[in-house]
Amino acid sequence: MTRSLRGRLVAAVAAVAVLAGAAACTSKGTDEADDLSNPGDCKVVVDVAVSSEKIDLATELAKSFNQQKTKVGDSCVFVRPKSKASGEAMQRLAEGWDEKAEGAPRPVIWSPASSAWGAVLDQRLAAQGKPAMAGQGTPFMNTPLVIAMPKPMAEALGWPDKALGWSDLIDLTTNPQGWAAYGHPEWGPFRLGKTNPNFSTSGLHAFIAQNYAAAGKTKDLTEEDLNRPEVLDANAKVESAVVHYGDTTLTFLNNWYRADQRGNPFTYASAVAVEEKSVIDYNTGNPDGKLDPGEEPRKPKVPLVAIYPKEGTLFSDNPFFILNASWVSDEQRQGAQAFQQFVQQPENQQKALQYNFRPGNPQVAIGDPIVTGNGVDPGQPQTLLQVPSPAVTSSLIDRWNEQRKGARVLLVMDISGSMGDTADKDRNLTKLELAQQAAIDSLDQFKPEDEVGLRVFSTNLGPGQNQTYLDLVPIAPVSSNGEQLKTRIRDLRPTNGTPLYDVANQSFTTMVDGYDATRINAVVLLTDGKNEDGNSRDDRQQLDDAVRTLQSQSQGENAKPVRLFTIGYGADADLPTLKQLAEATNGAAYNASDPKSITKVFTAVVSNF
Amino acid sequence: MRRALAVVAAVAMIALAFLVRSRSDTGGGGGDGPATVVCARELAAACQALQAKNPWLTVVTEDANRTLTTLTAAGFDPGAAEIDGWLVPAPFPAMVDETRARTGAGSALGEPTKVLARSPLVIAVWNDRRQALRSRCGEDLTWKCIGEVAGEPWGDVGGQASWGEVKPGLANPAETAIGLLGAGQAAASWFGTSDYAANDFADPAFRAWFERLARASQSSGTGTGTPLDQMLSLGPAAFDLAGSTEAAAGPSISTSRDKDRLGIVYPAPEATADVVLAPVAGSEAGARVKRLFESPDAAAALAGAGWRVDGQPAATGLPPDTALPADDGLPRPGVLQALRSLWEDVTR
Repeated sequence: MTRSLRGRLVAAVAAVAVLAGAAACTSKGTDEADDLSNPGDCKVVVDVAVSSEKIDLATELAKSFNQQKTKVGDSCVFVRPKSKASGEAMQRLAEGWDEKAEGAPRPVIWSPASSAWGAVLDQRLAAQGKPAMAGQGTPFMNTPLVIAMPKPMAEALGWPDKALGWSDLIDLTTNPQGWAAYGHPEWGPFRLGKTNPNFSTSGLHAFIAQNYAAAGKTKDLTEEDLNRPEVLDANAKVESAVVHYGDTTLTFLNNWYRADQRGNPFTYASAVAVEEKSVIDYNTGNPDGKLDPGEEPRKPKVPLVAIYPKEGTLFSDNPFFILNASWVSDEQRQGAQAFQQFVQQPENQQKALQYNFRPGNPQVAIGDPIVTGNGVDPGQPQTLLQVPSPAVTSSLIDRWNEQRKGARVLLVMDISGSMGDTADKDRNLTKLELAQQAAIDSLDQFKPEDEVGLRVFSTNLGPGQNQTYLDLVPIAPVSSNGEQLKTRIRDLRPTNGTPLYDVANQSFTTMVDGYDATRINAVVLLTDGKNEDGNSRDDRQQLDDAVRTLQSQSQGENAKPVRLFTIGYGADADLPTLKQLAEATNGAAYNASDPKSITKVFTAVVSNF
Repeated sequence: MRRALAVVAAVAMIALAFLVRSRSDTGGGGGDGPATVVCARELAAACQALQAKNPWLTVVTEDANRTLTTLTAAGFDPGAAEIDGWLVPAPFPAMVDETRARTGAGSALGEPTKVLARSPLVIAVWNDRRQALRSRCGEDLTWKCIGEVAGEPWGDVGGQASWGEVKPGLANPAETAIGLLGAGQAAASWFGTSDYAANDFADPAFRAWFERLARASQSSGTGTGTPLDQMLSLGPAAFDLAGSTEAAAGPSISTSRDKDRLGIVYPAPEATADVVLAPVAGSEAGARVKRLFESPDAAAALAGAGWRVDGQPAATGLPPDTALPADDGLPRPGVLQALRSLWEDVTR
């Protein structure tokens, strides 16, 4: 069994995309093109697929542009941005972008986070004997990949006087004393946060950068380099320090911020590979880059600093690709060019700064907030790493799937009675049936050495009908129990209640007891309801106990970090509680309140491993 | 006497302008339908400005080598071509003629215009890098010296170790006009003359130098835009210096956020990109297109895009009184073709 890159990209970050896309489409139902759902009398519609981190800016710019009623021929141009994760959009375009399956129009402009995605797309099209679709894009705005560290940790390594890089992190990773070697035993071992390069541009860039550093090069990375023993060894060391992966850096930043608010940001992660803009977001008290209603930015107690790796780094240049695709008309192309020119205007590029990016238009000065007071350095980076050839980039992604840190995961599935409710009327499928298929599909994303087990929970289980969970498949390498897992998942049937707190607590404890420091240890818990164990009077106490247990095991330099990733499934899931449980372990909570999204959500969850 | 001649010339130009304008407004001679001109990417801004005033004109912008490949393809039939003219630096039409002549094919292009505009080939360089290179290259920065230090750690050539390796930027000569002309100028720097030939490339010392320059140039940057574009957008991390035309570098640097950190060097031996319009042989609209590009409108468009045009003021960001050499200072077209092949060989 191999991890399927395609499969991962297919489902991928779409959960985020769907939500953001929906947010961008509010209808007023008028003839005026004054929002992004109704082109009004504009006949030239330019759909834009943008990576999720810039959907807000793209939407703002599109609205301004649409108000100008720029003409192509006799008709005005209407620009309509939709959020689409870079890796996923690349995959969709390589496959021809099925609008019906995707539920989104085929884009005229594609703006992924990095030009590297355009090169990979064209390479995959070339492999199919098709012409290039992306070609050379026009940078919209820039942000370099950096290694974010809590300031005291960077200072312990000699920053800012000493230039730091991946090699320093490798040294620290392999030092058996960990942070004690730098006078801080209380910080425990070195822990690194990196995202999954199948989905995340910063994850892809980080993996490219660490391979360059290991090869001692800044350019011309080759397949031969990737096979060199010292490169393989360095990758193994870096990956061994990883806390977990994931589809977005926001999980790390949010967890870090919560740990900071609790007074100790040092033991969750020592360093995370993120974009420079995320460091500014974090330090200004907005770790996920957006303020929800009622939220106010609160600066962290311990700020992060951006380390620009001394070996060099890569920029996310957010290019605009006007696609050379059969579905793009001449009028749309002209409209796209007009919008591209619009976003390059200095007054619009100035807005990039408001979102903590560096303007792509060199006429616009790089100023506040790209300032040292925010933990970043406008004079950096000094060395740029060459984006590897598309073939090498593709190979890197495939190799990461093999080289990444192994996982030890307990899959915990709710089989309460409500899981038997119909969720997909068209196909007459229940919630449980949809979840079964998603869980089975997700197994293909593990590598053979990953260890996975299956636990189900409900009330009145077991021979004596007095158990809250059953271990159906013991934790073992997927290579040995993969088929058994699929069979047992396929055979699940809905039963009784939902002893959520008890099972969350016990599953976590099970994993702590069998903790394997060489792997990412995690519980994936899927539930469609709230705690219903037949005794509602002790619910509050049970929850408090569970959260306390999870937190106590997850903090401190000697913690055995087991991450709880929860999936709130269906409209009745208790999302706030699931979030509370997940965050107590520095894991993450996922929202699959639309049962049809469960496949995408499962894929996003498994991207953490 | 001089002044009188100048007045006469000015009057004649105005009269000609009215004539050309009236012809172009009505479609002019040689047919009155639409016409298509392919513009080398370096000339895109001028072409777009001209197109805006002449709706009958369609402009296609592409890299010069792509057009060259089209025009020299075995099956290319000028009579059936969908293009009427090519605006490009001068050696390229001659390269087409030479290539087609070698294969026994007829001419694809008619007689080009005289040189319409010129622009010195320059090096855009960060001031601190320029300063650091003085110890190794002296006061006058040359491509010869740049090739010698290309790829070396900055710490070894007078700069800061944190700058990484010396990263020169030359656009790909196998694709772009500026890349090929820049490579031609760089090789002239090594040979000390533009009068070199393809057989000189056999010199191992030259080949080693050229390979070092080519590899260092090709391996940096993001691949998005010219090396100068990347310097302006991403800063010194992208390239330490880059070959360009004055037309591209002058205005863009003068309006950039880095105008105080970035300078322009006019390296010896001097060379220029000289722009011509070559009509496609047998094109009905070819003569009309040629007249348009010889018109004052075209002169203004080219000058506005940073090119040097007789009688036109220098664009913002250009020194007003730069004396240009008598010729383009580049080797013969066939030598440039051989140099392009060599570049492809050493970077393969």
